[in-house]
Amino acid sequence: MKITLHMLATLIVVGMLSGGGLSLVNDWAEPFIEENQRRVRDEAIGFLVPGGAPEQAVDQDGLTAWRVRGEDGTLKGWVVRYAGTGFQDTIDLMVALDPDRQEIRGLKVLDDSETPGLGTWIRLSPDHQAALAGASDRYLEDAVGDAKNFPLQFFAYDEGEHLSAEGDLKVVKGKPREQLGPTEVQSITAATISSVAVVDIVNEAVLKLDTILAEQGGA
Amino acid sequence: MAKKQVSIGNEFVKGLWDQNPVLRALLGLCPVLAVTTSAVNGLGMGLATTFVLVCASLIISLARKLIPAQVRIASFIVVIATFVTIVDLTMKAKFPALSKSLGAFIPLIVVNCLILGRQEAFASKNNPFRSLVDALGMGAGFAATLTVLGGIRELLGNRTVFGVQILPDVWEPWIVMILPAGAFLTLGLMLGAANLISRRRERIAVRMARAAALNERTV
Repeated sequence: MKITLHMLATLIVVGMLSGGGLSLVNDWAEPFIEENQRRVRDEAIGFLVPGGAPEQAVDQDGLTAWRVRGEDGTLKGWVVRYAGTGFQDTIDLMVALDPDRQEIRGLKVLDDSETPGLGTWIRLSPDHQAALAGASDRYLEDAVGDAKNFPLQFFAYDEGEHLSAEGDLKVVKGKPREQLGPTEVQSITAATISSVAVVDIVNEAVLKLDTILAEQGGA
Repeated sequence: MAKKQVSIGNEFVKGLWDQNPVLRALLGLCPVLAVTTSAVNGLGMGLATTFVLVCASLIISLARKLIPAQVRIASFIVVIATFVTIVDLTMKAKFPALSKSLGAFIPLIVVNCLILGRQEAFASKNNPFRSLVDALGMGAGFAATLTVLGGIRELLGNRTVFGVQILPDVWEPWIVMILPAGAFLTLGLMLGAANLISRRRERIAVRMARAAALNERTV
């Protein structure tokens, strides 16, 4: 009996100390973590649809969307944030759409656990991100055809063409970008699953946004 | 039973080589293999593990006479989990980039057998000072091995070490080194090298002992 009480007391004390300590650390860390997340989010929106102020339009079923308006109030575009299953763990990404939501204007993967050196090509490289931020037409002619530069085709390809935002994108293997149409996405060599995962998430995001906005409009 | 007293210096040094947690004891191999895609990741993981190991060893050693044997493992795990969560939150708050690249492996330090192993084998039987030195030595050995492993993989797979390019552009990166297979290959070769070195040291020690014995006889 004595030993049982001793065991109970030990575990209770250990648990209480642990819980108390953690709640203190959490109180300290939480504002920093939220600040980091907000900064990442705002930077990504500002990069995807530059020169505007985002206003949150949708936050429902895991999908968040922002209307980005210019200074004079005109709609410059949309940013949709959505997550889905990748090759390993979740891929969390943002898609930029034109004001009419007909075309895709950009893609940024915020979080993923894809295979380094292969699936990680779904991320925009820092060099390309800098180049795109400086290019008003968002078209990197020399780089977009390379299968490694997967995200670039979501910005613009073939002299400023854009991918379809109808939810009908599909991945095509082994064909160069210039032979593909607006519903076809060139896959990353040796990372087809990651490529398909990204395209699936993009398709699902635009379809879901349509549904949600239709419901909102109808209500 | 007479207890063999080891000098404090040896208590630290043994973790670096003779009882190196990775190269000799083969402990905690899951994070060792998974996160060492770059030197920074290896070092980050090593330091995070060292912090948890040192704090947990200190606390457990201080409380070793208060914790009944029946609930020791449960208590150890709670203490370890507390420090792991502290590391996780701190990294998310202050080093978001590193936290992102180490991903799920920071929370998984809880189940790193190296840490529980040191609590069970050492901290619960030795005084706080000795436990602290032991934990620092083991942590340093772990961090150093992970950094070297990550450095080799990053060098051959990405031409860089700590993000600085070492190999020239003509070097075609061996992508396999960054993939899981590269972790096994590199770790295997490192284990082989460690075995070779320690066998040679043993042989030298035996030869010196024999020479000393011979000397004694002739004198």
